[in-house]
Amino acid sequence: MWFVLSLIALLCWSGSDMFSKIGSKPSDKLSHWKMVMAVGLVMGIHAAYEVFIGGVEITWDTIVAYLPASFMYILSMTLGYVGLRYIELSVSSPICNSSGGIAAVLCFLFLQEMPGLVQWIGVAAVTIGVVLLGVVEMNESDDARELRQKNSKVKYEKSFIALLFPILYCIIDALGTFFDSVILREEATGTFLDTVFPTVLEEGPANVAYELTFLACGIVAAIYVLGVKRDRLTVKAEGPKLLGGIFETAGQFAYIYALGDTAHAGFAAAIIASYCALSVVWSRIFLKEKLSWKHYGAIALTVAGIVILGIFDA
Amino acid sequence: MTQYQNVTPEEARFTVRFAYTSDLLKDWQRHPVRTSRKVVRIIRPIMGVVLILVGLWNLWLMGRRICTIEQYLDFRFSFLDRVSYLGWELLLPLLCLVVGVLEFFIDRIRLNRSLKRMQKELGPEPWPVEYRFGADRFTISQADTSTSMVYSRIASVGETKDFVLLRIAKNVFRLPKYAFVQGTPQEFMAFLGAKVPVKK
Repeated sequence: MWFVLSLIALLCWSGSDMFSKIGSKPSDKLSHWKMVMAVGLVMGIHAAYEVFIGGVEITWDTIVAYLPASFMYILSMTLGYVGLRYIELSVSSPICNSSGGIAAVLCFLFLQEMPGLVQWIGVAAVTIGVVLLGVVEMNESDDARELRQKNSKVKYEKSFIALLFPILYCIIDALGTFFDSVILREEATGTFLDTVFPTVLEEGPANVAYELTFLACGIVAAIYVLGVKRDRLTVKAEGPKLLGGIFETAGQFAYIYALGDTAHAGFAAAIIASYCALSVVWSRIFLKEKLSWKHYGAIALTVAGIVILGIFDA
Repeated sequence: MTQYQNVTPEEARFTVRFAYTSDLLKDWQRHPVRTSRKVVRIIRPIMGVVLILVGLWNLWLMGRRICTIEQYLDFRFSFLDRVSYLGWELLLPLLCLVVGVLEFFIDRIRLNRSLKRMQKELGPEPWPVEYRFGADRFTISQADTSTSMVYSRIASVGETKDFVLLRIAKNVFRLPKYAFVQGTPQEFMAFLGAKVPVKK
């Protein structure tokens, strides 16, 4: 069962990446707000299911206690959605998903969780891969870029700002992961973090708290888009965003249960962690994004690092 | 600093003429051309939100603590304890909140201040400006003052869809392409490209 669930998570998250990308048109300056609306709606529905049918108990205190982690996750995702307007998914996805490397370093610095040699190799591979990807992206000549984007549906210009968004996603998501591991700690860390995060939560209520916070952000985004900016929503333009939200939540659901099988958690994590590689494949097939062999080399190194970190995190 | 003669209209090969208005300057602030400014514009609201969250989180933590006014005034607490209580428990979150909110408004405050200064020095808007580019030097004229410089003062020249950008010392001067009244932006870029480094 763990294998099927892992494959579902893999397909859902890579699908979410692709539909989010399709929904983030460069011409739509409010696309990130609309993505937050769509994901917030789907997460809100799932949270309602968990509370009313699943029987998860949720209080204001739980939502507030988990706020630092959920806020960082939501902020990072929003920035990731902004970035999708300016850069290929094939470049953005591996950078975004390398946040595990930074989270491992944060856990090492503040929680004294000493990673093993293989994890350090994973962190190094991710770091080198992302840096190489940035270098390749910035040093590519305009002619080479134009040539490889000939068949692409959207043309992108070389820009540091375009790279900045996935990098910010990576850093802020890593902070979220770090706060998450502190708030869900099983025993006291013995550091100042015990004072700063006094409430310890279980995984179930924490997940619902995150989804409800996302719903609240979705409502704020809806007020901004529909009320303040007076923008109209159309099925054709917003459909992919909603699909992105559904795939994101379904992937999260499958992920939790796939990792629940502790006997195969390492294998499940390795499969799921490689979803950004599948995102690159979907981008190549459906979005006609073509990269240079240097890009693909750097992406392969990054994905290898992500998979190593995924295995050892589980 | 060496004073150079102003470029006369007869000597000018290229002339750029437009007027600064508060709307134009607000628009330029919203759409910066320098990468560093673009990065700051992205980072600033993120920092603002994070600082506000940190401030609120600290206030929430303070609310959870047992420290009351009676305990604060308790003789057993030393002066240092009281100062650190005030500093860490109250001033730090308040500082985070104030700086966080400021992050959202600082650009607007700065622009309003410079607009007021311009109004005071140059009178009511619009504020016309003229750039005249001669063979070996150029002149910037605004109101009653003119400044002339040689081309070696320009560190680099760049181009965007709407502007030609001149980097002089630490400042970037924008020349709107629509404002070329003599010569074209393409000819100007070719002319200046032979004299100063072109930055892509």
